[in-house]
Amino acid sequence: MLPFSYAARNLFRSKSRLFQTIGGSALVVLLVMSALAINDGMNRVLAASGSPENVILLGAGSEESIQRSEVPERVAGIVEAAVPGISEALGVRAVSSEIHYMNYLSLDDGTRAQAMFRGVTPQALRVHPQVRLMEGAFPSSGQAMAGRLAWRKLGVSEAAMKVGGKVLLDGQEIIISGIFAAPGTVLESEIWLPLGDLRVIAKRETISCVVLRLDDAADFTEVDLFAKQRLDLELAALRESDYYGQLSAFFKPLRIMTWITAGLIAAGAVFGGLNTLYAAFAPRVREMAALQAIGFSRRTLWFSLVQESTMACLAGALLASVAALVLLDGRTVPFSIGTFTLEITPLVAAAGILTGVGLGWIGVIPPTVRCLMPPLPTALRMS
Amino acid sequence: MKTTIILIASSVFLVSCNAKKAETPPAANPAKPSAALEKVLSTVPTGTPRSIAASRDSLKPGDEVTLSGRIMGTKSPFVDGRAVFVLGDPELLTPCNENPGDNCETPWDTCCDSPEDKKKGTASIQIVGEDGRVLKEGLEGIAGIEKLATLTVSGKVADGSNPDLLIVNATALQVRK
Repeated sequence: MLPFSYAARNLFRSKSRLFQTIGGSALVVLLVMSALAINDGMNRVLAASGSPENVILLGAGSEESIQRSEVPERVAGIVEAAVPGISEALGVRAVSSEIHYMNYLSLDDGTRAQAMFRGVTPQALRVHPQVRLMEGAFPSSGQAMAGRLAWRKLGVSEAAMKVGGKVLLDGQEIIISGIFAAPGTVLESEIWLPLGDLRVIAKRETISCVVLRLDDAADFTEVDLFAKQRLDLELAALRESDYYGQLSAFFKPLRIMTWITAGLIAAGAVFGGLNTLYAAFAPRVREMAALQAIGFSRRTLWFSLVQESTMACLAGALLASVAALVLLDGRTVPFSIGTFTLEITPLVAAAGILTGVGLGWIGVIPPTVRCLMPPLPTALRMS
Repeated sequence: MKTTIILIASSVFLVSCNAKKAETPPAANPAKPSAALEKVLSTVPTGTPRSIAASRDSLKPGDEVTLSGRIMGTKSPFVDGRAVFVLGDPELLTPCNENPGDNCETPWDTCCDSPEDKKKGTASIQIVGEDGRVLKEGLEGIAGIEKLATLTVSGKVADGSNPDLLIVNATALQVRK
């Protein structure tokens, strides 16, 4: 067995090659970590946004889009009286009539951006207990309450969405009355308005959905039964968690594109690295042949090359991990229905290390081909 | 050798990442039907079957009625753990896959029909116990009751029914082959 120090010292024989290997490996690892963090972040926010205890009653046939759904406003009262198992506090049942509406919002400086609006009553706080008012007050007529990440979704400065700020929606001036948080969910990228205001702005006579919160998620059956027994109301009952699960499936092509893009760039980096390594090992053919001649087996030499390659690639993985922690961790990324946060979780970090190890093994292919494949007499005479 | 490396690497990227899950058969109810349900399933409907759309205006709660139709009209016509389903009128509603060139994956939702036709052409069929409440057992998969199955149902129009809402408490049910 060749000493480990042999592999370690060889790393520094060509500083430019080492730099290229580490750089290429860091790029590939960073891409893999980014793609995984994006996938993970989007899945996490959509999974956290839907509660299994919440049931959405929306218009039959609009199960895939709340915004298209139309539900008569009287449904909330009927549901409240007819469905057993709804969560209740101080004699009030957790049933919230909502309008979900997407439109452009304008700021004083002329900035125009697409925002997700939700028309609500104070009942919404009962069915979405994760929502916490951080600053200001629940909106009354002419006001809106912005999620703490709404500014990020809109692509404006945080100061533009502070309490007291003014925005324009469909020509109507709206004052930001409060900022709310709903950690880890898409809700905190939304802007909430009083239901009546949004009904007028959206020119709707119906609401988008009725959301109700159950004491026990198993009571979904009761809500579903209600929907099937009241065909005149044209309703479909959907667990909120299932709705966001559907959205997650809807965004799957986007996530696949992320992987394909990362894969293509990484493939370029890998092939470039392989090419460089193949050429760079030319001067060491005779050295390897000499080591074979004095008794070291090909397997021993191959193992030493694996050590060398893995060390270089793991150094790249380390560099990429530091870059990921500094550049990616905690960053919020906007997408069509909200924002999600990139997190370098243990899974993402482990994937980075595994990619580094994998690259180390791929990286050993060129030196193996270049140095160990030729027959010994030929290799000894190679220049 | 270079070619081999390129081929191996390419195959890694070209491997399909969207392998289709194996199709699972429709959920069957493994539990034995209760006596109340068994009674309804073993009773042959009587009377001339009427269409849902044609009869709904004339029916009142308490009327005896025999309807024929297909289980359709909504994306999920059954309720898990409850003896109820949505019956659709085939004279008014058409499963989407029966339209030429339509390969809809959920033809029983009759998504090609208008909401007005769906409202007019559907009825809730439920099986209730002696206490008047819907039996707490699912129907899907029992005795051939499945999405798009054609069946005949006899029963009594339930309280609360009106021309906009037709609910039938089934006393006899037969799936037509």
